[in-house]
Amino acid sequence: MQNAARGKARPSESAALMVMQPPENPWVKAFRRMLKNRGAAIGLGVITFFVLVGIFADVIAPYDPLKPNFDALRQPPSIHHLLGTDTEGRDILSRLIFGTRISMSVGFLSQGLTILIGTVVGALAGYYGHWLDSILMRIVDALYAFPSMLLLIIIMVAFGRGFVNLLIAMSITAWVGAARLVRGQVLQLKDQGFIEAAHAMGTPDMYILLRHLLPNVLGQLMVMFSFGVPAAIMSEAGLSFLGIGLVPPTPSWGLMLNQGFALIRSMPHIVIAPSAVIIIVMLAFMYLGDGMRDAFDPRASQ
Amino acid sequence: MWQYIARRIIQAFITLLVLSVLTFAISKLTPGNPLGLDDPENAAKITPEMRKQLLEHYNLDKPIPVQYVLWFTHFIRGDFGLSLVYRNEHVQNILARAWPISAELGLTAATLAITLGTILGVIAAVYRNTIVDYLSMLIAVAGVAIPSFVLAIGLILLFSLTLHWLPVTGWGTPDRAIMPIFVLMLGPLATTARFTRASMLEVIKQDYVRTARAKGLPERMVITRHVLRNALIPVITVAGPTIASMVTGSVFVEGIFTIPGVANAFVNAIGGRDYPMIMAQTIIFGGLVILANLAVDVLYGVIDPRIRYS
Repeated sequence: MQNAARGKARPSESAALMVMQPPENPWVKAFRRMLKNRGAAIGLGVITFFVLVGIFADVIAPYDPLKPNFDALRQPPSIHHLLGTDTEGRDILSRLIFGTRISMSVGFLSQGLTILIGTVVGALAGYYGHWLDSILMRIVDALYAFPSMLLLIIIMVAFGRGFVNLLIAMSITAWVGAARLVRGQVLQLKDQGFIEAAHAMGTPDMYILLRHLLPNVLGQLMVMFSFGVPAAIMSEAGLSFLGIGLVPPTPSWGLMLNQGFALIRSMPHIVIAPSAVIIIVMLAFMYLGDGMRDAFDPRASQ
Repeated sequence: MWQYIARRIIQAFITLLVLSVLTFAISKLTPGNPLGLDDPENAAKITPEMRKQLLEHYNLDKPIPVQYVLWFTHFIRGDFGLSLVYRNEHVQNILARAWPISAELGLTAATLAITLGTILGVIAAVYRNTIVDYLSMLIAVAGVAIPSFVLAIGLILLFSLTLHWLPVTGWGTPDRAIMPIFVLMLGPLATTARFTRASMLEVIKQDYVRTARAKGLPERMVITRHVLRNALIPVITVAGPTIASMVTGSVFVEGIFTIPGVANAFVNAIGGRDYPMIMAQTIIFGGLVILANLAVDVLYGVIDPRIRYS
């Protein structure tokens, strides 16, 4: 495939282009590299589709996801309700569509927060070192040693179910990965010549961190983000399935599984639809994540 | 090396101490009373004296730091405290009943996951870019992408409710163990397979493998003598995350298949605000994961002399 792309431009042309154009932005280059990976490209397409479904849920969904309809209880799939209805007569397709909005929000928001907290802590610990580093890293080690799902469960039960609580709980259990990554990179870079030069010129610490140190971890953070979003979506579904995530009647995929599992003998259609959607989304994110890692973080994929 | 191990063990204790303080703080911040004293229904029946006695009995009347110190001094002597849910039963007795079940489930799944995962990864690497490789990696992808609770639901639908081959719930007979072990195993199996394959492909590129081929060794000898021996060393590092994933996975597996193990007790303990139980389980789970990671690090150095501890 690479050869085909190269072959299009004749040697003289590409030489001329190289002279005239400034070097291509490395981010654009990495993105191109990623799209060459078929799995990653399809994954990106599927995720874009789900993000759009989440954004336009109100427009697409044929029914209200929350309003019970006592004339259409527990119906199998039909023309009127493509995926059937649940125990309260709510349209399963509509609930899945609104559930997409919930899942995507949980995934992207919690990961955004996670990376933010991790970056701040990691940068501070790595840059200032000494006692601050020791204290922060002890906390990181404690959290890192413990399976985060269990801590999540403890926090959710302690502070109660709900969207905001879930976001906070996920972020405070998951930031340690990003913190370790950023700290490691900052430690590695801060004694190098270009940082010393910046110090010597009297550049403020904040500017050094933001302009000189963080751009070096951005690629790895993006890869981490792309693996973290599906993990967060999976955690939300799992916690809601256990009954300690979101509050019913929220149209969450996990809550739909929870409701469907209780009726798995008589009405398997309630549980099949959300299971299938979860698997599709997880697969899409996994292929995209693998592709992103290969393209944006070449060291890790070697 | 002994110095290294000693330092790591000390670090592990500090980590566990931090973890216990964090968990204790979180569980104390929780609204809601574990003994149900704040339920309007119960509040009417409980006289102030009874209330005082109950709180005293469970040490809940003392300031929180004192409660922590009390808990800690008892814990290191092997007394994990009275369970608040199973009244008047000691946590260590409840755990002693539940642990063998979870250990059986977890160890079987872990052993299977690591052996089968390694075999799958080796096969995929040796026959890379063939149909065998693609099929193996398809299994690996499924294992990573399908959440354990979704997999469990799917298996129950297929094997219990459609084909009627396996019972849905319970524990104690081999047919009841098949689905839980499979669900618990698939994730770590997939991780191991992917990791092994990557490690194999890395080694196959090395100069000494080319040399082995160049001197005319049959491919089988090249793979078994030169590639496998070196490629399998890094694979032991997946044992650490595998233990952690067993702990997490068992929460769902034991819950869905109603297996009376520790993870089930953990979820019940949290629902009932059973602090002594939550604390004991947190420390045990945390200790288990830390120990597994330490064992992996030490073992790694023993097997691969190129690793130096510092």
